[in-house]
Amino acid sequence: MDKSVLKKSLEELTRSELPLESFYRERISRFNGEINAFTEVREANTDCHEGPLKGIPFAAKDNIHSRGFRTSCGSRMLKKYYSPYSATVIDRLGRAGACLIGKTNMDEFAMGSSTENSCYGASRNPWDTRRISGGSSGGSAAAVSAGLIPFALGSDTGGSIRQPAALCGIVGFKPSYGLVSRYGLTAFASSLDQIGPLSRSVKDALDVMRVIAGRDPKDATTVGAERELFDHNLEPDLSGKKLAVPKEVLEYEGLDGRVYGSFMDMIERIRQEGGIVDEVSVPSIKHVVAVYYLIAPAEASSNLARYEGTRYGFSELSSSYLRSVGITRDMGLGEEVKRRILLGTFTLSSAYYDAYYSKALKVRRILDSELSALFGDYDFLVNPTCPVIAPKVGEITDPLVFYLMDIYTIAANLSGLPSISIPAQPADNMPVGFQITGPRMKDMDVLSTGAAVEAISPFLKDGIAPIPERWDE
Amino acid sequence: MKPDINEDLIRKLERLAMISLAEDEREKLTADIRRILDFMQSLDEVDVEGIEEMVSPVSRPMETREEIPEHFFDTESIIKMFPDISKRYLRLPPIKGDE
Repeated sequence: MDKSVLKKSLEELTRSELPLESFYRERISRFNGEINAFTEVREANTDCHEGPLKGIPFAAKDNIHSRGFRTSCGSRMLKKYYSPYSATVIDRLGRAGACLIGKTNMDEFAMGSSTENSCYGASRNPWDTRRISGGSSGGSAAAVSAGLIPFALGSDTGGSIRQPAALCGIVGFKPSYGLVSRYGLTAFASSLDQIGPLSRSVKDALDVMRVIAGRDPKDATTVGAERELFDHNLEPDLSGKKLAVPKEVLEYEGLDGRVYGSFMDMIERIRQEGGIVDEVSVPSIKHVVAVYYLIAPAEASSNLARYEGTRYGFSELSSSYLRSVGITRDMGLGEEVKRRILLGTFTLSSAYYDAYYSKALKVRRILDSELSALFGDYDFLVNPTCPVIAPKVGEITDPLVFYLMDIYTIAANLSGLPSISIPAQPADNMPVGFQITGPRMKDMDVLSTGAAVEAISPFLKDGIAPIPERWDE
Repeated sequence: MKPDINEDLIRKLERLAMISLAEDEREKLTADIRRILDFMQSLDEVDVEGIEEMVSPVSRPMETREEIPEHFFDTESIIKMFPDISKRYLRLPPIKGDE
């Protein structure tokens, strides 16, 4: 394994004499009040082990369990819930020497695109604190972007790692479904959820993937013997690479002209490096939002049935069990979560199952076939990560407008594909993400091409996503 | 496939999902769900005749593991979380009286 850029970048970053952990704790105590990225910061629950990430502090989204830490999922329902066990990813990072020092803010149960659905209030975008940091892993993205932590874990069900990474100007990677154990990740939509890293360079993301990927007997969807997948060096080379841009992406009416401009700027740079970029058609892309918002709420309505206030969490006891559960769930869960649970309950009901849920699963199959065919001719699918730059906090109130913000990230979740967001040319001083998606299990190729795009991005400085001046002290 | 989304239907969904909404919430969520389902009508244009459902990105059959009881090392941390407790036992509201 070559020398970790993560450590190298840290050496450069850490201009003080303080040990790494103290350095970051000090930054968190100084700046988190304005950014609201962390929900909890505390002592690491184990001593740092020897390992490739020894002594490197990290943060985890507040839906990933770590023994002794609170795991609120951004919900009033779990605001006083402390995890009795750790997720597999947390154990693996601990064994590799990394130290968990905090949990990060998120939309309640990962349902949202802005962290405004968190019981802790919205995290702020370090590039402009009037704006959202994206979501649902918005706290992780804001923390990494402002240099409050070297890397953070997030979870991505419909874009929740890549979209906030794009809006905050950092790297966000969603691995192929099945490469990272979901044991200890609070379930939202089990066929779509995947844990991944948010970091300031592709190499950092790879260093984290080398530790967290691999089969886990506690998650039957993990794939065997795939850990070696990441035991290669990055080979950043665009020459001769074939990239497809679906025309449905460019034709989407909600695509902000500034984001389009940033995207085309990167396409031009890729062509100059010898990459081949073609416009293609993936007809089902225009249906992904409808498909996703039928499948994910259906799975959520089942996964969230466990929050009924009798064994743990918020509880509003009443005269009878059913009454207690009804009131507890109404008071403990936020509006977006209730909207999705009711929607999922509706689409799974016997009268409407075929018309909605089953139909969505069939369109998912059609999309998957279209993408498989595309990857027969092309190496990668590319598009802007998010159609807009970060909106202001409170600017969007219509749930459908938020749902449509996920239009470019969802396909990778529906098909279980590896997908990365790389910072591209900013627009109006706000970051814009360029997304690269590859065939299943071609994660290393996606990371390598991500590194090649990173190398030609005008946004990065010395191969690392820059910290906004305001926090770069 | 245009269902009539009204407050009666939402009340039925509340019972199924075990959530007791407040009146004003019910009104808002009814309108929201109606709009969201209207948006889903775009799927009407897709012909899914003969297409199989895709429930997971994993195509191979998933391996199951033996169900072997394991001792959890820290039951105290679980018991500590019980909202209502009586001599280390979880207390529940009475089931009697519920329909």
